[in-house]
Order: sequence, then structure tokens, then C-alpha cells
Amino acid sequence: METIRDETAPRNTGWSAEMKSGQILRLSARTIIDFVCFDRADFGEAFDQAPTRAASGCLYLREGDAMLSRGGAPLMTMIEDGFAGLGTHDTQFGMCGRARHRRAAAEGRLGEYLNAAVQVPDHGCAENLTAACKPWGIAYEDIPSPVNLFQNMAIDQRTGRMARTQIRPARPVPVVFRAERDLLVAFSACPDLASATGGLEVRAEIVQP
Amino acid sequence: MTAPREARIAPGAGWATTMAAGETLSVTARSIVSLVCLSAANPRERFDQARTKVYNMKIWLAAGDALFSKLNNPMMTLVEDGFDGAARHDAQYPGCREALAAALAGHGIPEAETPQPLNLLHHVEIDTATGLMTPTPRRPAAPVTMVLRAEMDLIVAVAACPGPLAPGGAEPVWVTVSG
Ligand SMILES: [Zn+2]
Repeated sequence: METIRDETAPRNTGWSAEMKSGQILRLSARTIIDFVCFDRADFGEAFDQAPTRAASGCLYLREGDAMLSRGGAPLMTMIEDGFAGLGTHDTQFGMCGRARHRRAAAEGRLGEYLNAAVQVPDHGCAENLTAACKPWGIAYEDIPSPVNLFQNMAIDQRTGRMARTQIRPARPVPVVFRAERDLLVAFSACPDLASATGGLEVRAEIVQP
Repeated sequence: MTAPREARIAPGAGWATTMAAGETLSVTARSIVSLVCLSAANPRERFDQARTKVYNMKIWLAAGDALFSKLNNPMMTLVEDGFDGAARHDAQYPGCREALAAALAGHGIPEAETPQPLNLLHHVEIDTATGLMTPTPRRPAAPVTMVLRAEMDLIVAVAACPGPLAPGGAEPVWVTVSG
């Protein structure tokens, strides 16, 4: 076991790293993380929510589920879920961000997710992930909609309506992924406007087993 | 080249055209239809399943709901839904990407720029507590019509999906653009 990286991304910032196949990524937090990955050899083979759900048969990403590329190749596997039993990880949402917040404000819909005590930030996950992927020449349009770790949603069985919840771990817990090929991984420590915290830092460790 | 205004899409095939803001696309079928749209002015602005679900705050779509782009703009509105009440449309599955990509290639769109579609008439049972999804063979007994209004100038692509669960397998899809 060799620790390759052990870093903390502050609230509402992005983070990225290259990983080798077989290495382990451990993300520890008690806040929403917008998480994506790309095949290092072909950034067009980015994580894709739809084939991931088609393979797992599930709206939520669970321990044992693979994160698939748009072409259907396994990029990572979630091998440990510290949130299991407390809440679920979302694969419905996109990224928050300036354009999203602006539209929500214009339409009077900020109340859908805004904790009253939280200021709307001037940027969000879209900007954070764009900055985190920029060194690899990946544009916003080519960053996939993420897995939203610790984003626990309440979905109405009859209407399909989604509502944000404030269910988060009480203290940081890990979610652990194994790289199934050489990857670029990136995340945003979301300014989690639904929770009372308004977002928190995320610890990221990469380990060579 | 003038944009085609109507077609019978053969089972398993795709079709694409351009349409102007305000025009409507009617889609008539009784098996799964995958549909995507891209901004004609900026084809990098594409339909996005996730942004669409967040904007509507629903995991499936019905009449009145908007199709959204990754750039947070409304692209189309589902103004008429012949499936409504009987079942729902899917925004979880990849759908028929090959047929969509082949149709979009004729408009200069690379395969990698084909977004994940809206899958009309694909009724998936979803247990929202466990998140488990079960595709079903529930389809209209006779062809029904969905009408979508363009909210910007668009390239749209439609595929008549070969659905193993559909009654009779793949079936044709009829599309018409009206001004
Ligand atoms: Zn966010």
C-alpha cells in the first residue's frame, strides 16, 4: 500500500488527478461531491449516467456497481460505500453552476433547493469541474453529468417528482472506487445549497494497493 | 438542401432534420422512439437527460415538460402526449444511439456528440425507494402521437428502436414537422 495523493479540496472547488488501472480512490466527505471520470486514452470515453444505470438496473450508484463510459466500458467500481444505510448516491442530476443558479433565480425557483441561510455562490460544480478538467483540454460540453455522491433525493413513487433532502453523513465517511483502467478523475466539492452547511471540504486519497 | 418535413422511419432506422423555433414535430408510434435535439446555431449545445430531469424535478416526462440542454436552455416542449395516462416516457436509458448517430452524421455531427436520448413510449417501472428499474413491454395498443414544439432552431434526430420487449418487435415511426 502506497499513498500517491492525499489532498483536501476546499468547499466549492474542483480537483482532478490521473490514476492507473487498479489504483484506489477514496473520497471522504459529508457533503455532495459531483464526481466524473474519463478513460485516460480517450476522453470521449467519459463516464455516462445512462449506460451506468442500464448496467446496474438502478437509479442510485451502490457498492459493487460499475461506472460505465458512454461506450459501455467499465471505468471504475464502487468497492466501499460509507453512506450505505444512511442515504443514496444520485445519478439523475447534472451540475449546479452559474447558469443554473441564474435561471433558478429568474424563475423564482431558488427556494426549491436553497437553504435560507446560504448565499447563492457566483460559481458551482459546472465551473469547478471545467477548471479541474481544463489542463487536459476538456471543455464543459464534454464533461459528463456526474455521479452525485451523498446527494440523497426523495423521489415520489406516484408522480416521479424529485425533492432534495438534507440527509448527509454526520461526519465524513469514505466512498471508495477502484480504477478499472487508466483514468482521469475529477470532482467538485459542491456548494450543496440544499444542506445547512452550504458545502464542505472533500478529502481525496489515491492509493496503490 | 431543404429539410425533410415528414417521413416514415423504418423499424430500427434513424432520421434527422432541422426545424425552426416555434415549429412542431409530431411523432406517431406504438414502440420505443429515441429522440435527441441539438442547437442548429451551436450543435455543441445538446439535449441532456440530467438537466431535463432537474429542470422538471421529475424522473420522467409528461405533457408540458421541457427538454433542456446541457447549457440550461429550453430546447423543446412536449406539448401533446398521446401516451399520457397509459404510461410514461424514459429518461434513464441509452436508447438507440447507433441509429441516432447515423442520422446525425448526415448533419455533420460526430458520433461522440450524440447525446443520450429521451425514449418516448419506453415505460420503465421504477421503485423510487430502492432505485431499481424494470423495463416493461407496456406500449400503446395502436399508434399514439406525441407533439414537441421547438424552443430554438434545432437539429432533431428520431430513431425507431428495435425493442425486444415491444409487441411485434421494431415498428415504423411516422414524423411530421409543421410550421
Ligand atoms: Zn454542485
